[in-house]
Amino acid sequence: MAEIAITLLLNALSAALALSLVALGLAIIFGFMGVINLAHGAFLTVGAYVVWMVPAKLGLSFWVGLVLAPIIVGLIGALIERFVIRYLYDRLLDTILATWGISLALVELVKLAFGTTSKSVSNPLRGSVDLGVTVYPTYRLFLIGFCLAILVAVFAFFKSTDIGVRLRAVIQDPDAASLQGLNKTRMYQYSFASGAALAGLGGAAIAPITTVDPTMGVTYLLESFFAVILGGTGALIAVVPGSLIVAGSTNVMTFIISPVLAQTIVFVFVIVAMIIRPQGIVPEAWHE
Amino acid sequence: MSNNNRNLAIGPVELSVADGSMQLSIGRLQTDAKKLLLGTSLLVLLAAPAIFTGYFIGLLAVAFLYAIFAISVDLVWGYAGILTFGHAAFFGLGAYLMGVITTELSLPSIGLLGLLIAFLGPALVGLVVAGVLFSRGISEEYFTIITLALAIVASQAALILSDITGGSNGLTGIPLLGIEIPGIMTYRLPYELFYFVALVALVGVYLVGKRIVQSPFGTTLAGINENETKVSSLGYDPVKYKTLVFGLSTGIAGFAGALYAAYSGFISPPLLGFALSTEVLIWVLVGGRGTLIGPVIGATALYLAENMFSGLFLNTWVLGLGLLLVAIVLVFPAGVVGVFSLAEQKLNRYLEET
Amino acid sequence: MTTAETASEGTNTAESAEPVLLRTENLTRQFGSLVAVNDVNLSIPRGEFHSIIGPNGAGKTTLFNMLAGTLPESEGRVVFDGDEITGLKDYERVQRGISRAFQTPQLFPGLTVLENLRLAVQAQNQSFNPLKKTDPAHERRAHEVLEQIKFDADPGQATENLSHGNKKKLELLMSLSVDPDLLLLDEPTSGVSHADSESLMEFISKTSRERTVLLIEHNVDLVLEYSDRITVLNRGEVISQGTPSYITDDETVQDAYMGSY
Repeated sequence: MAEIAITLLLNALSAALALSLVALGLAIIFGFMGVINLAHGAFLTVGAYVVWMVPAKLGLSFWVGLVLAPIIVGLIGALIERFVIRYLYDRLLDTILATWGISLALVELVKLAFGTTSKSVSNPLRGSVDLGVTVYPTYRLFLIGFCLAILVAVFAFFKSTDIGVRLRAVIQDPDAASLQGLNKTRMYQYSFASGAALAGLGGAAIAPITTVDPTMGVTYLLESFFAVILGGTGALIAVVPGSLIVAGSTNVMTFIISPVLAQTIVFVFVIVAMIIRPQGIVPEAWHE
Repeated sequence: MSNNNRNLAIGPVELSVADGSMQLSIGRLQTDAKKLLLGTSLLVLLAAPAIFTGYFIGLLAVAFLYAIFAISVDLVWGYAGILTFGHAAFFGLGAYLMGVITTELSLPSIGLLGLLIAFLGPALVGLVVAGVLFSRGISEEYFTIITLALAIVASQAALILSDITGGSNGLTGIPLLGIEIPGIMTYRLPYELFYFVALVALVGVYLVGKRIVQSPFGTTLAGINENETKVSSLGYDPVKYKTLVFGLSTGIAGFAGALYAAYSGFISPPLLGFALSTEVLIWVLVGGRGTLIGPVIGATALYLAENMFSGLFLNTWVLGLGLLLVAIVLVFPAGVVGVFSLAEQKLNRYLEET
Repeated sequence: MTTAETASEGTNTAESAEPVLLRTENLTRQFGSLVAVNDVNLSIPRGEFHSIIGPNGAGKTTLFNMLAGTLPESEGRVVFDGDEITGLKDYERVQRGISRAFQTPQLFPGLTVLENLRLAVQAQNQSFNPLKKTDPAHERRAHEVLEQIKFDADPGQATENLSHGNKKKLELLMSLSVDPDLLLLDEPTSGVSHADSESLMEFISKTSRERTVLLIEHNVDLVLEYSDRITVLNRGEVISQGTPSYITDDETVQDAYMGSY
């Protein structure tokens, strides 16, 4: 029993941390730019395809792909910011439409290039580790550690560096950018590129434990939106509890009921939570 | 307000501008150019079954139903400024209500009653959803995300509730419209006539839409779209107006869905989902939001093009649609109707100057 | 407080059941650690033309935002026409008879001048019937409202292209169109030409015979000329209150203004 419980918890934890990465990207883009990025799911898909392509087409190692994925998706993000988003900063609702258009186009390009069939990315860390209570797949353990490391690095950047602290002020009050002496254009470009890169990294990291297909992004898009909204947009760190609830509870429930039903229950729960507490579940004190 | 009588004449045909509207006169006959264009199109559409193949007429009938759906989206998005990414949930709800009523309840006779229920059901759900969200002060972006989630939840619900909805197999054998009063009369609509039903429904919804946007209620919506703070400071409660128009819109979407179910005879979960929800936004955007005729043009043209040419473009149709969406948002947010009204302004100016 | 009470003895209150139309008690608004409006007590009799003056940042507009209901009160109470209205939403206050003209005109840029006015007129007679036709009486009323004032632009044009002066006039007319008992005017003449300012104030003074006016105004000469009573705010607090002649002689007022200019 304990064995199953631990396995279940570790599954939930790995799913939640992977979602945190993706949701953090979304929160960065929303927090700094006010842009609702519906292309986030497509960014994740592209990241997953990069990590599939590097071993399958180029014959290089998975780990090269894991490094390349955020770089490539980040560059795509920078280009999109430069040529599309930049012209829509004062039209918030229109950015939703434009990023959705981009999402459609990216997913279709993936389909055109690689077909609609799902790809499998071979597991780079086969085997399992004996944890005493349970035996757990090595890659999933790696995923937990890897996501934690990235999250800690990102939050350390915002906590300890001068620029990070100034950027945090912008999240709490979007008008503060000029007060903080930040170059808005550059801040927007970096925000969008790094947000996209996080989605690409997330897609690459989960690729070995999921099916990679052109439409894989939609679920993650919605789940990361819910994680961000549930946590609250006042602080980046709120995506972690948000993701733990969204992905964690879906994962645990899947043990008992069908995945579709589990997801539906979680979505309904989040909508209700949003109605009751629109500012998010994270207390105000976290915003500092 | 110009009262001059400058005109452009080719033989007996004369185009002139009076009080800002364009007049067309042929010989002694004078008429509003736009009304003439609408009237002519309507005549062509009425005569269409005699001209085109049955396949094309079938496509056109479905296009009309999607055009009604697009009008419903335009009422909330174009007029009240509420962007919804989940309107297919209501279109699909209408379709499923119609399907369940006519097949599972084995009451094929109440096809027309089905239309009414397919309007009222989604309208009620829309009122509750919008009422709760808006009165809780949910921001417009959050509202959009929630509608997006709603579409996904709805299509998943249709999968899960397979006892009622047939799950992923959907519902089949939904009959065309009919009226049956046992022992007194039985009427089944012939398949060929459905085209006219769809056309009449579209014209009806268009006229109702026109009436709505020109009403004091519609002016208030326009005010909310432009400056919600000011509307509120004049003594209006914007939440009530937004809720009501959302409910109206979801009702119309359900009505269109019910007609779709009756005509196609088959419905399945994607009808409620995210893809159709976003496709309708593209139709509205391409046609021109905030104009009722724009969504009709956008939905009809794009649906026909998709079905007739997507074979040629193979997989590039959606790619093109995505790029088109970005291009319109960036370059021409007013859509096709916007292009026309710009051309009209230019022509007016030309006519006034010569 | 005592100055306010003695000063109001001189003003002639209307012969209504409720002589005091608007009363605030300890009204306070904080933004974080900043106290924008601090413990303000006002008592405005029906029919009074009352001005609020004070240096920039004195909390005048914040006070208006609280009175109009666009900003929640941090502390204190607002009583209007005998009823407590603290916490009510802005549109609920309009329905009770408080209307407000914004300092920066808040118009509907895509709608015409007449449509803007009609929206204001219709607010008194709201209809949730989406199929109802526009009432011709409302159209006529919109025209009538516009004729009250010298307005030198095509009423059929969209308001986004209006001159600043015309926008200010329209803002004022719209706030009047909802037929309020209390009119809150936030610098109705700012940015308006000198000649227009005079005629606008003349118009406001004329309408104030039927209603109570609370005015924020920078032009002290106009304030002294038209007001029955004046409240002087500084750093969110009432530093003086009384008739124009009382205010001109008050040294605390002179000090406050000297300090800020």
